[in-house]
Amino acid sequence: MSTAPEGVVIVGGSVAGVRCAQALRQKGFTGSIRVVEGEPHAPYDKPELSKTVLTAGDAPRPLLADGEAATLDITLLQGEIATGIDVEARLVETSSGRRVEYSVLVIATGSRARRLAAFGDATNVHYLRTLDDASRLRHDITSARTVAVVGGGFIGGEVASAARTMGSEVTIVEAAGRLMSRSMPAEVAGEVQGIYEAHGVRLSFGAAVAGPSESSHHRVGGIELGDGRQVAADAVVIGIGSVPNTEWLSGSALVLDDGVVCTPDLRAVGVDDVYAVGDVARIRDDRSGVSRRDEHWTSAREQAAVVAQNIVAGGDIEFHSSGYVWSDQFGHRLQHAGVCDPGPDASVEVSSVAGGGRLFLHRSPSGELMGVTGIDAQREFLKARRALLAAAVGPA
Amino acid sequence: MKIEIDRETCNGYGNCVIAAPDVLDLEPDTNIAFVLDGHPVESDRAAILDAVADCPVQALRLVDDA
Repeated sequence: MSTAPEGVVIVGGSVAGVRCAQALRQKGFTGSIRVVEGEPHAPYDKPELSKTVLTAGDAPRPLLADGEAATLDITLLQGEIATGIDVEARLVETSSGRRVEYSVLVIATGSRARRLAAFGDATNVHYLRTLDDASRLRHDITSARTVAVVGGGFIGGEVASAARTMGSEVTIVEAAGRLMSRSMPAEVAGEVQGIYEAHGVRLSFGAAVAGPSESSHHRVGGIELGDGRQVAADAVVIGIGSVPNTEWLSGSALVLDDGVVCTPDLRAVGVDDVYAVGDVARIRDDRSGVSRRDEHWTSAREQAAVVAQNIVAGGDIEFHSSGYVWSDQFGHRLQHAGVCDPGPDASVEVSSVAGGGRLFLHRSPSGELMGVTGIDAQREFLKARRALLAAAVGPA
Repeated sequence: MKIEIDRETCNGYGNCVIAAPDVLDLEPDTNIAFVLDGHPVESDRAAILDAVADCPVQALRLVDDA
């Protein structure tokens, strides 16, 4: 059972897939490693796509250093989109008609932006997921006098920040009554709202997007809201969540439910020797009843290490998320770790830190520390994050 | 073995401190990562490799002695 497999195929060359390949070698795996990646670009890291790739046209950081793929003997099948799987024959079919055989398969196909169908494929309507998306968006923002951002989450905030830096007027359109209504309690959202207002961002709450306002020549004139209001915009950016890329797996024995359903050791349910990592992995823990996808950079890295370990050692180490996310916007650093109750009854302890930052400690109804959020409070946040880890109980 | 920290790139995310708490910390004034006295030692290797992989801006490198 603990004989290491011959060949690992990883489908998806973003952070989860590439870090998994690297971790396999780090842990001594000597079989072949092939990474199937649909994008034409060498594997790159995505956090900067909503930051300096937009504002400065910087290239995103490569996930593999120069020569690293050769040194680690990792084969990249670049520009190959996985189109199907045959779990009996253990092979992945790709867009070029290739059939890639595996002993162990790691599914790391990530997610794509959720689209608003009413906006069709208008050229000035943007979703931000890939380098090509970011390049097109940068081009458009550069000449846009007004930008409308749909969705008041982290991505929306970062795009708004970039667009303000580049001189555009920005409106954030959020259907809920405040920012981050499903992820953060009101105390945190209020602080973030204050930052946006201080930087001249207009905020529209409480009305969903009905569709584009007048469109012509494949361009929209802005957004029409459900209450009839119009938000004029030269460019529209939609950041309203993601959809896991699982279509290529449909019809197989894999269990799909808004992601590839896996056990906490990241093995896919229903098929042997298949794992999932990153945005596409839906972890279902039957003991706790928790089912979730962790769509964060740090989780992807942590999951990649767990899967590599389980492949190499044939073990069943479980993934425990540190729940760490960060966002850089308007010159401010937002960080969060652990969990929090975004609802109105949340127990949040707010404190000010030197230099004007804020620290938010999220407590359970019984008073235990569940999570921490920091705004410009790196040291205090790190201290609380360590306390959170130290307090984490449960099976190792 | 030594740890190279790119001070221009380090942005104080703190992931490295979580990955390798015995080896790294953030400077109090700048929030730039630094190596704790007496480190790195060979037994830190796995934690340091995690820290390198966990840095969102690739500011850390583990360099083996030539």
